[in-house]
Amino acid sequence: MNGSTVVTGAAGGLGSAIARRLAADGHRLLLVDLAGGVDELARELDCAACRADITSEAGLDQVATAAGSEVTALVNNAGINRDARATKLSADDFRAVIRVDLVAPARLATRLRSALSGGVVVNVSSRAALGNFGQANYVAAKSGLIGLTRALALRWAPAVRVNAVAPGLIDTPMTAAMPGDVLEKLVARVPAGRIGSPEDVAAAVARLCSADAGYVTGQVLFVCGGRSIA
Amino acid sequence: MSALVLHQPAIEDFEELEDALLGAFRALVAQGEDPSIVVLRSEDVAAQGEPVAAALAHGLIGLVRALALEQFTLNALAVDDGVDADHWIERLADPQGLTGQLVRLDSRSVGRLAV
Repeated sequence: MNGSTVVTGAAGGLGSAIARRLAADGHRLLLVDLAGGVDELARELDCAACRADITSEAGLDQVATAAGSEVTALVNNAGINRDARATKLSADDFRAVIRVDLVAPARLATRLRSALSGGVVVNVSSRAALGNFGQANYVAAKSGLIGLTRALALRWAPAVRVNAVAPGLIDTPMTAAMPGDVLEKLVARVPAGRIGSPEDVAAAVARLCSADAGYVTGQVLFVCGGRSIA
Repeated sequence: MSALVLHQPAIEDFEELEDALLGAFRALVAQGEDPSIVVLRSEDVAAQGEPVAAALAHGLIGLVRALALEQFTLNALAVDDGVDADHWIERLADPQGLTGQLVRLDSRSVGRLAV
């Protein structure tokens, strides 16, 4: 692969698994994150890192410059959550989640469009896009990301494939912080009978980035152990 | 009981998503126990128009689903441009327990993926 593959939110639990899997598949990676851990991961994987805030114009410029003129794949993985019941959810927390989880990936994909010719975009949405209690901001953002995925897939075909993955309950630092009994109840609702691993999601992302998925665009792959139909 | 009818706002730039979704969220939450109907453009629900409009339409569907899980009474209605949806808006103003649903009054959904 000649072009670079950009992974945002690469220092996180999910992002680092995606980065490791894509590195193993031979992608030439550009890891993007605000957190310093991205430099360490880049050293481990012998690839480039970019410390950037993708919600800012300057951050988008940084990423576009570092990515270069040929981008094989963009994995829009960066995301945050600020959960609260709707009546308690502040405007700041609502805005922050929409900005990071929806607006930033839209702007980054658009910014990299010309470099992406012949390439792939994979947006990391969530099973929560179908609805979750206490996450109105997150659900709106991740559902919006699915609409964006489909529209860009139509708009950019045949030059660029655009797909999404929608992870369900995944073993990340965020879920590890949940009280044990709460996590147990959530796992009990997953038909697969277990929590997903970051590697489960990374495998789905890698497949969508590969030539094996060359005829797949505008689709959402739920990686949720069947929770989306249960 | 007074129903809120919220039409998908017209936006042209990704930067406008924040304000558009926050405005909808505030209006829907302010309804409290009264029902709301979010009227969407079918073209955008089908993601066949501008990407920013598709992101907004689907973001609004997400809001409808999330708030329904918090016991709000609200539904979304997708209509083709120029279609008179008054009858359906009237029906959804008294939804009799129906909440969190997307009703599609369009010619685009048959033969395509459901949202």
